[in-house]
Amino acid sequence: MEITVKIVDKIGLHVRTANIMAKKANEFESSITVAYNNKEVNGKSMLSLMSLGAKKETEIRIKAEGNDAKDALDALKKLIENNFSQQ
Amino acid sequence: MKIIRGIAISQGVANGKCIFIKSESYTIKKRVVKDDKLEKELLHTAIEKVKSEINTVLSDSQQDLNSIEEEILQAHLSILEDPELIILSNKNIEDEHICAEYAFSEAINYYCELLSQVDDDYIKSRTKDLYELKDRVAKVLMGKDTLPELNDSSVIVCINDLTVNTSFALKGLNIIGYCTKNGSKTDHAAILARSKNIPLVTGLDIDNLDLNNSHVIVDGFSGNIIIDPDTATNTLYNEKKLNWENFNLSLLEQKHNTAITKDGKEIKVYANISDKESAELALANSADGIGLFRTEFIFIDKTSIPNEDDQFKIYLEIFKLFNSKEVIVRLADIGMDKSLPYLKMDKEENPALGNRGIRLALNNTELILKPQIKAILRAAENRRVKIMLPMVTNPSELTDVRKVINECYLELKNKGISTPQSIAVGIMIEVPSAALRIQCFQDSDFFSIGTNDLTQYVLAADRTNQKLNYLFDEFNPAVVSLIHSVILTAKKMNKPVEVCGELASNPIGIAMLLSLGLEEMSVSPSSIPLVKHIIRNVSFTLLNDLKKELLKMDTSVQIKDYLTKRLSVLQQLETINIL
Repeated sequence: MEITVKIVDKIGLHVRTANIMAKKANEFESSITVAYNNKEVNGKSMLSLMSLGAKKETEIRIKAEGNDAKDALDALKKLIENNFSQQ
Repeated sequence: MKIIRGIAISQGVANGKCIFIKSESYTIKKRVVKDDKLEKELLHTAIEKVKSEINTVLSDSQQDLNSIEEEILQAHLSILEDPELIILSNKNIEDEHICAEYAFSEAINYYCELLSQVDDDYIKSRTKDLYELKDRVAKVLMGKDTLPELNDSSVIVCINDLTVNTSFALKGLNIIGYCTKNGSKTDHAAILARSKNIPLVTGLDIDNLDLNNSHVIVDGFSGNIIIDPDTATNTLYNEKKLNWENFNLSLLEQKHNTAITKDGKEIKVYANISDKESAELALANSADGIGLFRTEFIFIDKTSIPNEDDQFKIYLEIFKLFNSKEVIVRLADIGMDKSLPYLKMDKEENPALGNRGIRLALNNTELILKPQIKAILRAAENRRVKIMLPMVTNPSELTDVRKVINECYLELKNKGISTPQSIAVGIMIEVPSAALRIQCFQDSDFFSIGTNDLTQYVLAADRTNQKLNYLFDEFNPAVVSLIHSVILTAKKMNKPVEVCGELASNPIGIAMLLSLGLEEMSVSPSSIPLVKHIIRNVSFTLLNDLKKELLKMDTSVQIKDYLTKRLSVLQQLETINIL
């Protein structure tokens, strides 16, 4: 499964946001990858997410494969659209 | 009891238990191993150990972490848990049958390489965190992990090199004194120790003194340390400590009074600062302004160059603190011992005489000079901000920088950014050629004598060379007479002149500078109360009368003795052992 999400955080995918996103991805069994600008990385790895250098107002593509793939994508979409607030 | 002679770098007395912090240098070597599985387990255990150390700091309420520090530590935890990093480390072990520390270090290097390619300065600068973690994990694996168990009793820290990084690692300790092997009055750690009023003695052969857990007295006045003091010495030093603390208290009570000599001459006392912390202390101690804002600390300890906007924010914060007071910003004095990872700098045989200060800035106009000047101009608005150039040798350098400043004005104007009407530009007097022919610098709006570098250049004695500490002497008659001629000529030229070196924080130094006719000085923020105390207790005219005799003397000892004998305020300091 695959979705595309726009990053609204004012800085983009940097330390704090990559950390939060990787933590959320790690809550799921499915394998998760994130693609941006011709690069595709493990969505559970904070360092890999940071290395994408995704800036604000850009779109990233998230892919999930596994039993809880749909839940994972829903949760990640919600997280990003809520500006990485952890509620 | 044993007395060891060192060099006093930060004043005060500490009496207590000493802990020795080993900071062995080490290299991570590629070592072939037989048992991959064991190596992977070792790595796992080491990472867990570092994680638990971080968690201890995070959960300790006494650490008093601010939100930035907390975020850094949280990020460190996440990095150590990063699945890709662990997978890559383990894969390195399996593929090449190499030791855990090398495998982990290679994995970290890989990610540093990746992150440094990202077009984002903040992300780029995170490689610093990765290297720090590499260091910590590797040290655990190699058995070089010797940071003591932290507890909350007060200790004297004994360490070879006190770096800014080690001070962060030691944050949990209540440090009352330092004994170090390498150091100088002007390095960052010394400045930090002084700003916190912690005595520091350096030049000690730490490795061969068995100081760990022993009872030590650090005498930050004489530069002695006393190991296992006898009862009489212990009592004497407790008294000395009390005297100093009481004296300090009385100084603090009067710190807000202006510095006016007994015969009514007002002397301006400015502060030397490098960051917000020291600026706040300067303000609390009623500085008349900032005589030296050292900006190189904004550039060092970074993996990428701070851009105009980053710098603008830093300057604005400091300028706002001193809204109506004068602030002299010194352009970054990079080079010598302060190298930058993002700037290609050739290894120099003689860095103190090398490509540093304004030389380096003019060689990197677009990269260093312009962004800094623009950031200063933007933040200055209509405040009393001035620009000062370090390491000026010839008048042409000032002319060149003025041209660049004009270009910056134009470029900002074209972008519609507002700038101050004009900005005063002055130079540091620290290179002998500038000191000897200061009259050629008509174009300079003011002068500031940097006695630390001027002394090292006049005496040809590297101030960072431990073996030459005995030569490095600001009271050397040659230095004194040169300072005198600079002050005299500057006054003839009708230009303000200040001294911003360590000499202006030394009680005898203050008296000497006043006798040479100096009316403005810039000192470390923590010294302001003492400096004002000296000024308030001397007569400017009397000191001026001493000048003739002073300039005839042949040794620094004569100069110092002469001033001490003639001034009761210095004698008073001598009786309480502070001189």
